[in-house]
Amino acid sequence: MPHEVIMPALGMAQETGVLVSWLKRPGDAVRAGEPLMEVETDKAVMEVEAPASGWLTDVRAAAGDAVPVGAVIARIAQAKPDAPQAPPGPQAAAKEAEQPAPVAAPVAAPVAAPPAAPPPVATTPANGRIFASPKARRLAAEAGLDLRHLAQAGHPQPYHVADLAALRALAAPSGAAPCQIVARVPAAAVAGFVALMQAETGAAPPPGALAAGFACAALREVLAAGDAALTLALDRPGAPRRLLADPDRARFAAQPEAAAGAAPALILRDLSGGPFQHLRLGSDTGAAPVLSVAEQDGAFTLTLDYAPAQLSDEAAIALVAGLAARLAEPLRHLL
Amino acid sequence: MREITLSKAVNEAIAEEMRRDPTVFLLGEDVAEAGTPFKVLSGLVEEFGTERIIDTPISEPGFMGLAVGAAMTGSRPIVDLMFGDFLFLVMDQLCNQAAKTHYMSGGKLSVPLVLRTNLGATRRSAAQHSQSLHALVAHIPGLKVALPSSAYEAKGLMKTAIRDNNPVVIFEDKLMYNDKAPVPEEEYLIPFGVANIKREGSDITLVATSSMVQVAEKAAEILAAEGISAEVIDPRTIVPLDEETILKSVRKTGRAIIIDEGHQSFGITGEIASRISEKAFYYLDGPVLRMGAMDVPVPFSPTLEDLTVPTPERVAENARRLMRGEVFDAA
Repeated sequence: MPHEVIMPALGMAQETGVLVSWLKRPGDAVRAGEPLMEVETDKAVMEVEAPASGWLTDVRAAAGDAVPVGAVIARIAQAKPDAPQAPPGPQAAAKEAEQPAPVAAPVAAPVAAPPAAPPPVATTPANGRIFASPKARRLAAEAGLDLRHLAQAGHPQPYHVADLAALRALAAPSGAAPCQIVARVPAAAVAGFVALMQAETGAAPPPGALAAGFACAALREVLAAGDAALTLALDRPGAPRRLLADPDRARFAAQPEAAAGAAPALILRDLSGGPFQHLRLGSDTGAAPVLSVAEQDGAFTLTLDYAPAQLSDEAAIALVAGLAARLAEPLRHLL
Repeated sequence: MREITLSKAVNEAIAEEMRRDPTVFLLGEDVAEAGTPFKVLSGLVEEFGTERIIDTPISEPGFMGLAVGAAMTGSRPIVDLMFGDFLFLVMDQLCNQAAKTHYMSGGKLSVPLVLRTNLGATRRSAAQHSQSLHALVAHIPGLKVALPSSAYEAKGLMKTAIRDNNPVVIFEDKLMYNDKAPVPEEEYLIPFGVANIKREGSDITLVATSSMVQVAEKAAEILAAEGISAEVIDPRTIVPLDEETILKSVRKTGRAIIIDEGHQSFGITGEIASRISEKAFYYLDGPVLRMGAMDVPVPFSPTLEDLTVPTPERVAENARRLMRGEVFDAA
C-alpha cells in the first residue's frame, strides 16, 4: 500500500503551499524522516520530511507549483518501481508558467535595449578645458606630455590612459630625438645592504647616497676617468640640488660637496620612496645626462635620458648596466 | 572540504559560541520551537533549552531593549530580528542606547550584543519585507556592520561578532539561506575590517557586498569572455571598512563599480565610491560608478521587482561602458 505525500499545512489559515523544490528524484529510495521537499508558506521556506520509507513515485507537482493544502503531490511506494519515473509533465510546466517561481528570480527578466551611448565630446570646449581622466592627466604630466596637442590634432575627448599612446606618437619629434634607456633591477639586494650597514655602522646611509656613489663609480668606469674629479648633481623631490665631488670615493655618510657652480658630469634624480615609476624628460637634458632612479613594487627603474652629443649609445648602455650591476650586488662597490 | 548551507553555517556558529561561553543567549520571535521562519536556528532550543533560546512576544522594541540591558550587565545576547525591515522598530534601542552606552559611560559599560537580521529583495515578499537597510546602521558611530556573502563568511563573521565587545549588526541575505559553500570542520574566525579579494583582475575593480558578490563574480565571468579582466572585492564588513584593499585595487585598475543591494541614493555605494574618489583620484581613468537597488519601494510584481536590483548583465554593461571611455552624464 503506497503512502501518500500531501501538501502540509504549515501555518494557520494557509490554503496553498508552494513547492520550492524536490530534494529527491522520482524513483529515489527515501527513509521516513529524511528531507523530501522544500515548501514555501507566507514567511518561510521549510524542508518537509518523508512521511514513510520506500521509493518516491507518482510525483504530481513540480518546483514552483502552488498546491492546495491536503492535496496528494506524490506517493511513497513500498516496492521499488520497475521503470524510471518520468518527471511531472507539461501540465505542471504550464502551471509553472502561470505562477512565477517564488525564489531565485530567473535572470531572463525583460532587459531593455541599452540606451545609445552619448557621443564623445568631439572638439575642445570653447573655454579650452580639456576633458581627461585624472589618471590620464597624471601620467601625461609625469611623462611631460601635453594633452592640448591631442585636442589640437582633433582627437576626440574625453582622454583616457589609452589615448596617451596617440599623444606619444604625436609628441615624438622628427629631428634630434632625445635618447632614453630604461632598466629594471630588483631592490632586495640594496635593502639587504642597507640593513648590513645599519648593523655595522649603526646608521643607514643618507637618502640618495648609495645611488650617488654607485652611479659615480659606474660613470668613472664608462668614461675611463681614472682618478679625475667627477661632479655629480643629486636631485631629490622636495630637496635642493646637491653637487657632490667624487661621491664614489667617500663614505656614504660623508660624501663631500663640490664647489658651487661646478659643472656636473651626470645629474642623478633619486625618486625612490615616491610614487614615480618612470620619468621621461623633455628633449633638453641640459648640460649633462640625467639618470633617474625610481623604486616601486620591489624593483628599481633606472631611466637614462641623454643627448647623442653627451654620451655615445655604447657608453650610455654601459653606464646603466654598471649602475644596475651595483644595485643588484652592492658589495661589489666596496671591492 | 564539506559544503553546508548558509543557514547551517549560522546555526553552527551560534551553537559553538553558546557551548564555549555560557553568557551567550539568543532571543527573538519564533526562534525556539519554530527555529525562525527560515529554519536557521532549528535544533538550538533542544540543546540549550528555553532559558538560553528565548521566544519573545511580538515586540521588537521590548526585546531589543531587554538585550541592551542584558549586554550592559554581563551577558552576550544575540537578538534575532526576523526581517531587516523591522529595524525601524528598534532604532532607539539600537542607535541611541546600544551604540552610545560605551561612549557615554566613559568606557565603564560595554554592550556586547549581536543583532542578526536579513536583507535582500526578489523573494516576492513585497515592500515591507524586502528592504536592505544596512546603510541606516552603518551611518551610526558605535555600531559594526557585517555582510556575509556566503556560508563561509556567515560562520566566521558570526563568531567574531559574538566575541566582539561592541554592538554588531549582521545582515544575512534571505535568499542565500539554502546556498551551499565550502566551510571547514575546524574552528575559524573572520576578522572584521579585512576584505576578501574574490577574484583578481587588472582592468576594473568590482566592489560588491552580500549577495551582490555573486552578481559581481558572474559579471566578471561575462567580462572575462570578452577579454576584460575584472577584480572582485568583498569588504565582508562595511564598518569597519577595509579601505586599503579597495584603494590598492583601484590604483591598479583605474576603474571601479560599487555594487550593493541597498537603495542607490545616500547608501553604501556612494560612501565607498566617494572614498575612492577622494583617495585614489589621480589613479582613476573614469568615473566611479554606483549600482544599488532602484530608489523605489520594492515592488510586489515579480517582473518589476527583478528590475530594481543589480544583475550580472547590467554590471557587465556598465563595465564595458567604462572600458570604452564613454561619457557618463550627471544624472
